[in-house]
Amino acid sequence: MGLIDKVVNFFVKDSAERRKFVNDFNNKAKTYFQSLTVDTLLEAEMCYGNPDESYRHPYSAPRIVSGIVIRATAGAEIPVDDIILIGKIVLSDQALVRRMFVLHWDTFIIEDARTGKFVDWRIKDFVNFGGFLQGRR
Amino acid sequence: MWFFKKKKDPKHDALIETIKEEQIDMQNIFSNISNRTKIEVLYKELCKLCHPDNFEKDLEKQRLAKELFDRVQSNKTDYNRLLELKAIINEQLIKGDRI
Repeated sequence: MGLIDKVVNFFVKDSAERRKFVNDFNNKAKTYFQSLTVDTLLEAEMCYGNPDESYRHPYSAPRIVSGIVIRATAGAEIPVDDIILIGKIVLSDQALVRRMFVLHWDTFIIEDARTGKFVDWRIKDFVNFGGFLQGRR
Repeated sequence: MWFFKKKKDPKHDALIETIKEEQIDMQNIFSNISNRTKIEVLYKELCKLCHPDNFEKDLEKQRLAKELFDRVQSNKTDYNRLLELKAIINEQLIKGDRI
């Protein structure tokens, strides 16, 4: 993809889709929290991506908006093991990971809103386009 | 500059559009997050139940155990799938031993 295409796609088309993705996630998280489906309130937000070059991929957005953080609010402090498990559960959903990848995020962060402790992952490590192509055939 | 623009690959663009239109099962994700402590316990239990080393004497069962063990590994964050696998393990691996 050419540079001009990348810039136009990112600023005109995809930034609206990114906002929509975050808003949809937050609305669903609120709904499930209110209906007691989930005991932890989750809130997604765009943020700085990890400055490490190994996080970048060909679709990465500019670094100031290349991260997506999910802040988890629970009644008490969330242990780091739980933060990791929440991250693994979200990242095990291939459709969600692929969507985050094509919407230009490269860093996925789960943060405990109470303590500020967080864990981040490279989104590109969890994308499996091979399986997707097989499924489409 | 515009004349350096690379030619677009229509197949590639179509793939991106398909990914953007894919349905995401948010309810399953949130329900798994809610059941996260149960997931850990169930996963460990299933790993112990269907570990291939438990069936060293019966090669057929060991092959089946390996297959089920791999499926447990690949669904280790999906509570509903783990419950389904528990039923399969009990039916195909454990029940036969008890008889």
